[in-house]
Amino acid sequence: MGIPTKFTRRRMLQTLGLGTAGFLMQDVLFGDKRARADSGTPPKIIIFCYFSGGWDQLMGLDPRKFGFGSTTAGLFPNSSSTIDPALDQIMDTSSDVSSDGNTTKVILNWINSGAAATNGVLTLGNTGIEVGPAFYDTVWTNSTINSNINDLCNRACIFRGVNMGTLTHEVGRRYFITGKFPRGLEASGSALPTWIASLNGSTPQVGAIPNLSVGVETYNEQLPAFASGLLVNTANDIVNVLKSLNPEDPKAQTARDAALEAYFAQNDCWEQTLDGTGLVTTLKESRIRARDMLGSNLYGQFSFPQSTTDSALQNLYNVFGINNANSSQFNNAITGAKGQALIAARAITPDPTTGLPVSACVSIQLATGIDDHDSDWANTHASSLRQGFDALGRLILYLSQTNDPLNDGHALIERTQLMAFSEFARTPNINSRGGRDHHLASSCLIAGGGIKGGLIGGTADADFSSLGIDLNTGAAQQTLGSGYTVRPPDVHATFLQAAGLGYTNLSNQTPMIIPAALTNPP
Amino acid sequence: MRARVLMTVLLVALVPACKKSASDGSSGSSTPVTVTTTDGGLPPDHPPIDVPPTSRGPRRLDVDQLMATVNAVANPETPNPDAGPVTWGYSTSTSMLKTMGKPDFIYVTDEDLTPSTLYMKFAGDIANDVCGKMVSSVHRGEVIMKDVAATDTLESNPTAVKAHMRWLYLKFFGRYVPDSDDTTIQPLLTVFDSVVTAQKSPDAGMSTTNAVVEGWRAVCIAAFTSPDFHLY
Repeated sequence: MGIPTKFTRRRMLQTLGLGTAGFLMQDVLFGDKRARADSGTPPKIIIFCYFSGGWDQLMGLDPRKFGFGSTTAGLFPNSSSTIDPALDQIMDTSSDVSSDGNTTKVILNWINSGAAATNGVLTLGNTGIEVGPAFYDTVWTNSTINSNINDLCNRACIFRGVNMGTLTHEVGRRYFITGKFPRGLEASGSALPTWIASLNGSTPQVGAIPNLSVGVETYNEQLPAFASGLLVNTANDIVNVLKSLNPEDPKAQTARDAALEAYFAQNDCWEQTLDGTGLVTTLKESRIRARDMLGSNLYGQFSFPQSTTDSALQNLYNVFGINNANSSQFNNAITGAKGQALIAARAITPDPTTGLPVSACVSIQLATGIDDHDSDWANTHASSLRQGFDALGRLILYLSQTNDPLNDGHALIERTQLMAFSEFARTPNINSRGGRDHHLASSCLIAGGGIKGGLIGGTADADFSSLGIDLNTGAAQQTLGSGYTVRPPDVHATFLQAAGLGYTNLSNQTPMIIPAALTNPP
Repeated sequence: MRARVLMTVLLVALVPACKKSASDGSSGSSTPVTVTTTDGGLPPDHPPIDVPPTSRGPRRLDVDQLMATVNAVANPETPNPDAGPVTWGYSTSTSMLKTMGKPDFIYVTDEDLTPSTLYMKFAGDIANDVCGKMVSSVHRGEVIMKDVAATDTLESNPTAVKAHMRWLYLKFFGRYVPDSDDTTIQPLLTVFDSVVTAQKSPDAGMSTTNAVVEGWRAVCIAAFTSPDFHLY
């Protein structure tokens, strides 16, 4: 191919067109300028809260007023709707958030006594947002245990009518974890905490474990190894991870450590051959991280004895409503949603002396086993959600009341992004087995820096399908087919935008930013 | 922002529209494309390849493989029935193996095979535990000091130490190292020698026997945490 030498009008226009297009597409071609947190600023904290199994919207974030046998218009069930809150079927036999015992039937008692007055729905502080019975007598609604309910409720941004696009647990779960629709059952892309951990970078301020995942699946696709989630199941697992299982005589170790460091610093021909895909380099980096992690003696942060003289730990027990005076209640709490919230609080809070947290990105499970297709729905679903929402509220309270040592004078919540989600919703009507099956139109809750509290979207009164929204106001459009239907990548992109982070990880999902959810919309 | 995107799309669309047509220039006729093929499916002009490329990249051991490999490496083919086999103390703990990433096929069906921090932490735990047992007086003659005496140093008996190191390379990494090759075994020889020297120094004050045992323990730990051991 020869090099054209003649300068023509056509060539000039071609060159000008390409040059201008290149200038205009620089964000796409050369990466998003907001793709990383500013260097020198403290890392973003993310708390990713998963309700495992598919949550009931009518009991939680998207309720309808129950008729209690009435045929009054606007109450459910009614003849023009498939929605049935079925509060009369709730038995609520599981544990209670205040006593962590198994005898107090709080929701059942409320339904039998006071719920009829409000048709079984509650209002979040002064927001006007209605929620279901799972919020009854929690930090969101009980002023005795939370004297500033309005502050908490005003921090929550609730998305309703999020179209999950699947009724398969693995697909829905992985869709919301990554923000990208899976390939078959396989996750596509990296988990949101992994993405944020990669943007936070590999600095001491992100903690010894840059991305800690307690029982929540985590993925890393083509991001640096340091951002990979460290998956554990319990607080005891974290201790096992952070503590050497075979402590040795330090004197014997010193000489050996020096020899081992010299050994691993080598890169012989054999290793170069193995390192074609970077696996040897990753292994060596991971070994150093593991060594440093053990050396930091952080495991004590995750040791939760019933009896403690540690005033900071006792204060945390109080904040999360963990009664350590009673053995049975303590064990129930520490292995449940409150325990998960406690782990998150311990992990993200920077040490007052060093200013370093254990982890800046934490994923926890606030409810498990809520895939209630049968009578378990009536017995335990509401209580499980209630435990999870109470722990979630307590966590937000803690973040908003705790000073950030890395940003003195500001609360931790200003540097934190928090998201609560499930893989999908449950059907609005009761099935033949007395439970609810899987439903597409789900919800989620986000809170934190840059996020404006309020309500986004909604579901149709006729069949609980997703309604489109006005992106600028967040209002649900009652006419089917109008407005924009929110999907998980839109929530992720908005969440990242609020944090001032890029979302190029979602580029092939064509995400939409939802300005209505942001304090500083673009 | 929306206007910029719109302009971008229009301009990109205009560029192909400006392409010179076949009828308005001197080189109006299109050049026929000639397709050539070569033996072996290589692209045209590609130099011949004598050996077919390998079919896969390296992989990390999964947890089951790791446990099986540790047991195979830490013990002789026929373990001493009186002493029992050397095993990692947590090798039968279901919860510990799950923490390490082993799928339970209830909630987790895939195993992450990246050599992560978590994996290397446990690799270190295994190495410390198993190597401590391997150099104990009841087990040290089985594998880690099978062909050397507790008084053999690189200085006092280099032939025995090097021969044993070659055997350990075969045992740990599955790599045969011929007698003529000192280069391959040099990294672990250095580990052994530097630990023995340090432990015999007046600061540490160990006896030669104890220093040699510590030297082989260090070799054992280095081998059990080496990329050669975990990647295949």
